[in-house]
Amino acid sequence: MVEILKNSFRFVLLISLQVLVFNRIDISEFLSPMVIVGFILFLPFTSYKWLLLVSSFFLGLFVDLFMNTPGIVSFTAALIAYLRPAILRVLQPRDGYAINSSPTVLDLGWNWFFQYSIFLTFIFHLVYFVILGFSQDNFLIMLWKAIISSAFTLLFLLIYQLLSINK
Amino acid sequence: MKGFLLFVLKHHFTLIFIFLQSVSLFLIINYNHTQRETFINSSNYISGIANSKVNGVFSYFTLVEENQRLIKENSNLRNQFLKNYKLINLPSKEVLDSTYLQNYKYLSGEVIQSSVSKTRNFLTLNIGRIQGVEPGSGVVSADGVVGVVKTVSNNYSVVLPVINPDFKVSCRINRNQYFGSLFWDGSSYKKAILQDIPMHVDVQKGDSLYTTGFSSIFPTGELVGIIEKVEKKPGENFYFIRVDLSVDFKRIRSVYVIDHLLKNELDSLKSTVDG
Repeated sequence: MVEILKNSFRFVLLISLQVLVFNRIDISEFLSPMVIVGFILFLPFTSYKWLLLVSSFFLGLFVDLFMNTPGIVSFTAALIAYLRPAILRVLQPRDGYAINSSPTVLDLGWNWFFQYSIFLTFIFHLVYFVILGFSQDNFLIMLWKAIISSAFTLLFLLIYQLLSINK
Repeated sequence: MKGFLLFVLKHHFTLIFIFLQSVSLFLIINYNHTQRETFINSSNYISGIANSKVNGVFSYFTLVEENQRLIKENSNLRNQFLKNYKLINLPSKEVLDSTYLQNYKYLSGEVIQSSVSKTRNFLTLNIGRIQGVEPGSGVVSADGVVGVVKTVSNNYSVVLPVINPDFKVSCRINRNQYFGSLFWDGSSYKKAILQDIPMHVDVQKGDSLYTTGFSSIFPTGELVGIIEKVEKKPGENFYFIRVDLSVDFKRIRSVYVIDHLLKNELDSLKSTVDG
């Protein structure tokens, strides 16, 4: 029950931050961080797989609503949600994930978290920029956009975790 | 039947995934191929209200600058208001009061949300259907051409600006009257590309570009930009021309939506030739 409340709160918080703060960053064409990927990353290990997909899809659809990009963010978010169980299986420690642990720095350490989050965050941004700039940008530009934006997003996610530990 | 149910249960994760991706793809494709009003855009009620609240705070930072621009624009308009009227009777016929028939009407609005660094940029305006905005109307500011209204709701509208790859406008070079088509290549919000100008034309840096008025969206003679760089590419028959856009999309605020009063007449006349 507490987990459901916590994740619903994170759902609302990250969408608000995304559309009211991060979408308004107009520093460079290369910087449009999608911090909502944090919601998909931080969902607990025990969450239902179908709920993981459906909630990620709606997370993306809400952001689409504000960005005039119907379908693009929801497509990307659902793809990342689909990849997550496979990545978790690959990165699984020898004796499995501890009960009640969640995919954070606090529970599994820096090393594990970096491997996990870098991959999914980068794929998220790459797919997003490729669909967005389809047949317009060349691939190198898309790649740079994905690298710079994911680096910023990762930095945000680390700060976000440090803040939530202190609570 | 039992086998089918077991299959669905076993692969429900992948099946839901495929279903959700089909919905997303449908939205992406539908949106890219038609100009129909989609439900999911920032002219809808919830995001419209949220954006106008946030914009209310941000707009204070540029208040002084914005006022100066408006004062300057007012004085400009007083000098040239006859431009928006169209001659209806020959001057020889002396009919008072009906010499000029109004052709374009301007509705003033404010930009409440905008982006300049995305691959597909959009602006949201605080005026909509109730105020008289229609999809397909041109949008200009004091500095020049801004874009075209894409969708409208009752009180808000979304504009497809010059800095969106879907936008194209035909422009005339003021000095020699040649015209070409202008589009945005996604590189910077200050620049665009002019194409279809043949090699024999004398084009120089600093020439200004104005709308042609062919499309019945913009009146003739709205400023679009100034030529920044002219390149000749080997093996091509046309110049590659970089244009400095006259509108600064990073600080755009007050805009005018153009209502073309004689648009239906012009369009039906054109369609008798085309179809």
